[in-house]
Amino acid sequence: MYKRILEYGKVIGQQTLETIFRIAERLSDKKVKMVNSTAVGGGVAEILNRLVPLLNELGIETHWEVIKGNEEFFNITKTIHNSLHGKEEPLTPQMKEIFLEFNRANAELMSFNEDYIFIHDPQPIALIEERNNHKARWIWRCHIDVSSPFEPVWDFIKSYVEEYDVSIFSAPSFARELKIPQYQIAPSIDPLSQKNREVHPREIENVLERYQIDPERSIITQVSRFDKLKDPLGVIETYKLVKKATDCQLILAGGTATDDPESVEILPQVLSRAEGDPDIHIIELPPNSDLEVNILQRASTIILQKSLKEGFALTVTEALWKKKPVVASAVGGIPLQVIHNYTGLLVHSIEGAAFKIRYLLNNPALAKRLGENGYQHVRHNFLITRHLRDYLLLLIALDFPNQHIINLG
Amino acid sequence: MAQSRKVTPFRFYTSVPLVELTGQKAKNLKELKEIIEAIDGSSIYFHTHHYVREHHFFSEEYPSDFAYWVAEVLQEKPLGEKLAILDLRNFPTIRSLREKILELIQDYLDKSGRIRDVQPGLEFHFCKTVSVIISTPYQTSDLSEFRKALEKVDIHSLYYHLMEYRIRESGESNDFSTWIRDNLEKENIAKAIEDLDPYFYPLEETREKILKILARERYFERVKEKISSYSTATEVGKFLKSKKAFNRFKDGFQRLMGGE
Repeated sequence: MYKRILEYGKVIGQQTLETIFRIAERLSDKKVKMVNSTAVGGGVAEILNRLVPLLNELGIETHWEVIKGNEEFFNITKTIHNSLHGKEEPLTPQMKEIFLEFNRANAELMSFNEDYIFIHDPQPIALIEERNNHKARWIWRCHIDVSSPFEPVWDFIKSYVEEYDVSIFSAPSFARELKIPQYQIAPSIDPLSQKNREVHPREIENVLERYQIDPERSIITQVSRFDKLKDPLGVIETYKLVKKATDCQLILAGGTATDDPESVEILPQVLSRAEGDPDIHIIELPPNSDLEVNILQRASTIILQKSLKEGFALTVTEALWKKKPVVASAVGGIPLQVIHNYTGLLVHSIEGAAFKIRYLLNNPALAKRLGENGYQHVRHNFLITRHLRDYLLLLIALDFPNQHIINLG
Repeated sequence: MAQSRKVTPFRFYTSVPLVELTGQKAKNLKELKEIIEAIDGSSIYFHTHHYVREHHFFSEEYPSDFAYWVAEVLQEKPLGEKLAILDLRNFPTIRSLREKILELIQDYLDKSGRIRDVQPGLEFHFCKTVSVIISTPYQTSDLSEFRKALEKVDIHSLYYHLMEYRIRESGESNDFSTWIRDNLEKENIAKAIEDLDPYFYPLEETREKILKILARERYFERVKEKISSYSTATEVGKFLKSKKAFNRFKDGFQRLMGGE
């Protein structure tokens, strides 16, 4: 018992780990089920892949099931996803019917004999129709920002959300007023994963050599999918403004979502804007490039995240974990991580971003302090162990409704 | 050293927070004030205390969410500054803290007369804390055990005994000082811990400061024991019990403790 989780003690401290053990003892006879819509790819699967074994190690029997569906079903869930993000994509009565049919068909294939059922995101939300047939407590874990949705679609989803015992959101600004209690549990990164582990200097040298990046000169990096909302063209403009005054190189690294037409469109524009400047490195990363992302982040002088819209922005969490000074837009979950002037610098425009980058390049002592603070902030608040602890606390809190002090003695 | 009086053992607890969202949000000062007036006390507690709990570095400018939002988002800097410098140790209850915050906002509204809205997406979101309190394995009956346990407990335990206890008990002292004063009758130590301002340091630094206070006490106890072991009939004994020797020990100790 406690084999893998003990490794985290070296990162978060033995005392903090002991607290997790003591909370888990309270739940040792409980069973949990996690349900989502994909086993691989995407942040939710990544987190569940790490969390489920840890819950089991703590003695809380946890099963993870993935719902099944055909292309039609997943096209509908994509429409729902886009609408919850604000795009006006209505659901026809027929689409709603197909959505419910697939949820019901999945329900028939599953058992719900556990004590707690976590349903992740909207795709399996209608499984809640099963609640009266079982004793379990039902938790809806929302990973997306539903603060400004297309209302007709939100109303449809909300009618199911409010059947749950509680809901969880990643940030206060992502939530809506609901009839059920809502908790904030931020997502997390795993400090021991390939994406975040310590790397050997030789590994960094190899990667920089491969991309012909000069380790002796300043490197500004943005790691994110090639997507309009991550503003890759704005990143290049920012770099060009910085470069007028201070020598530097730019790395823009990320994957492309081939099923997303906007993503396919933006890459040629990025390449054309970067043309002729050997100091701009556009790196298309294949899936499973975790170690390479880690190395590029660690090799950087400053990490930029100039997004126009964001989810929680775990790329920022990863950068802070690596003690990097971060310059980032004040959108989505970024202000929870980048506390202006303490763990990084928040910006609102291309010009602002360029100015702050120049400022940091010329003030390495400040850059170092921000990086150190950022690391501590992530260590205490955004690692997988805190995520695990919050899930355990939530399960305990379900037995103490409306109490703001729960004394377990 | 054996205690002759009856000591109630001190059990270290830890408090771990879970954040609940209230769904309420304010887009201007008037709305902020209206919600603060009516909202659960645990929300006021959360927005004025979670910086100390979560941010383990000292943010000197805005130690409360209200101050940060008013100054940085609403850009009402003078009010932000007044909210930021509230000394939380002067408010034994959340009710008194709430009243002070409301008074400051009302004064500012009366003087400035303007209500400015923030852009959509930048509203103040009200949260509240659910604190789950759990016992730790550490129980102590004297200062030596207390010091060893203090080195081991997690910082949430310090937070609980130094800050949360005071608010919950609506008192002026903290849990450590209360136990040390009532059970060990070490007024000097109880007072020295009370004099620390835990809102001004990261919790790890507060732990170090308390450990230093305890180390100083231990040093004096040892010196006292050593001195009393010598008879005044001898020259060494006479010297050791003189004021001159005492001052020398004191100077030596201060050098040892880095000037404190």
